[in-house]
Amino acid sequence: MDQIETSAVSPSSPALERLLDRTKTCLEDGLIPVEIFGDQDLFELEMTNIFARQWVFLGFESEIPDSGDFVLRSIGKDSVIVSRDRERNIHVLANFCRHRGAQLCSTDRGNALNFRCPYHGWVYKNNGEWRGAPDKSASYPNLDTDEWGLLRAPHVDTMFGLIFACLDPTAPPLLEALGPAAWMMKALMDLHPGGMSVMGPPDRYRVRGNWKTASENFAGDAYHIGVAHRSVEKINLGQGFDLVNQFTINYALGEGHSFTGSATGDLLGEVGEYWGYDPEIRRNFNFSSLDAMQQELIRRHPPAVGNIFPNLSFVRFTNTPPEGEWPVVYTSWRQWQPISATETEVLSWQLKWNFMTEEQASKSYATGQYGFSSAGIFEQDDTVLWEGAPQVAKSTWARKEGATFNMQLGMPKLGGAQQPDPTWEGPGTRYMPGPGEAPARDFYARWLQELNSGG
Amino acid sequence: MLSTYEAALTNQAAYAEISQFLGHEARLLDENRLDEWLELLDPAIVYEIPIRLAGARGGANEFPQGAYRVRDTFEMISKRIERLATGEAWAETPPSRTVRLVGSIVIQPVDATVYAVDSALMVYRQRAQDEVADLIPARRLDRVRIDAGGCKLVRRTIILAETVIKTPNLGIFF
Repeated sequence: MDQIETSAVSPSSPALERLLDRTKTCLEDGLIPVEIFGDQDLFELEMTNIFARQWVFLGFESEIPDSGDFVLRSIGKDSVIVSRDRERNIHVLANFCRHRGAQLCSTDRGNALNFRCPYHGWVYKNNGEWRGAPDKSASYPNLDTDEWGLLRAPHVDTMFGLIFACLDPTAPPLLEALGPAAWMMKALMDLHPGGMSVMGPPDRYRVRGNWKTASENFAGDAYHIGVAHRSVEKINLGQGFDLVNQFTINYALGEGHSFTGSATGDLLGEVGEYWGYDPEIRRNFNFSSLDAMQQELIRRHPPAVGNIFPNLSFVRFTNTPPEGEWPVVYTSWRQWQPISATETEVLSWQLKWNFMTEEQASKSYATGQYGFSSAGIFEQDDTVLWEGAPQVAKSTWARKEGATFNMQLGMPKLGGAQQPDPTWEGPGTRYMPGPGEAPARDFYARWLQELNSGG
Repeated sequence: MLSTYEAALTNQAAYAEISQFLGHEARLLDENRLDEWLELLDPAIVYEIPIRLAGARGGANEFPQGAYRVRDTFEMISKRIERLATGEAWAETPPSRTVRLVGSIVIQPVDATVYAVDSALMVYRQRAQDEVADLIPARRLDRVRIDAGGCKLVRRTIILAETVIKTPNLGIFF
């Protein structure tokens, strides 16, 4: 029985099995069946085989700085409490009482060393341990309290201030599981010993797209920038969008993780290096923990957007500054939380370097929110364009035709525009500058592999 | 500080004028007359939509200090309007059909010309081909100045009822 070996399950129906087989064949040709953006059975399989099995992101250490602090988040569709105990360890606990299922926590954040169920009064410590109940000695003299604590994620770990958890007890440690994604995170986050922390709780909003569309966009879709975000350039708040296709470099790290750098350092000289951080900020950076490739990467082709499988993305970008001024750089991490096959919740955080002044931090926050948030002038247009795929997924006509979407950009059959860079010595593949959809294809390959890992 | 009742009695003219102003403003926005709406704003306006969490009323766990979705100056609002006019702002092309219901208006003088204006706002928003339209409820905390030229909006804070926004974007003005 596969339940002993792995917590992955096999597809729930022959129809779903056929869809996955068809997807495998299509992917070999750089295509993807439309149904995968709207099939609810497939969604359930994603919940079991990906979100309840992979390491997933939950939030930032800087959101729960003190003992007792907690935030309410989700793993897949499941509500979880992310708490810091007295010893400052972080726990991820299922948000329901083991007695009759009442919801224990209904505030988004707070501080509590214990959680008491409002139904019958069962009490749990904030590390999940069962602690008590009214008239305990009369009511539960022989309760095996080890058995009746809150469901607790077997793995919780952090990296550069990001909190991850995994519900699969057999999973490898975080560093191993992240693989080459950890290399990218280091180049982004490990530039000062004080690190980065959040500027406030996440902005949260629901969009009518499938979570995978968002992940693959941030994985390496530079091709959309000049069209989807043209309005921003037209009002002079963006520049060079027409050049993006020529200067974008996709880094397909492997295992479905990837990021995109623009050759801004090569193009623009000093102001294009290191994301355009102004000298006042830049002089605080310490690159000594980075390897030679990471150091060259962030100087010449600073990572602008990326995705860590399954659904954690970042954007580090700038405004278009007035003449003679340095840009304001923002760093936003975002998560595409699955709500249903056709709906996704965006959680978006803005981060600051802890060495920043109040003024530097608040400028970064303001610029980041203006571009990427529930009202973001970039973000609005992305999310509305993502609404199409779930509708097509349910289209009678499209399904009748066995319709697919096209991810062949850069492949040999389309002229082979996207070539690997033979000089790259870092993880995965660095492509030569130019448009291509290799990151999207890699993302779906990893996705399919995880879906098929059941019996 | 006058009680609400006393304030209402002594400021009937201001109340009438501000109510007309809010109704006029709502119509401009519903009719997508954004350039005319912009003229109602003071150049020093701060227009803010704070982030709201599910938490105890009025505390730092409901409205974390300094956390916002929007915090626009006049210039930033102008740029948003300019973006909407490009014809390539896909989120609002064509523009949403909206109906704004403004009510529960309470005014309180702050100084010789400025009033604190609290009101409730319900926006019905239907985009392009949406089958499902959105209802977006909010309270507004405004500062309105009345002078010889009429009313100007000096400050606006939008307190959305929702913590997780259900309408796909805040691409309209509240």
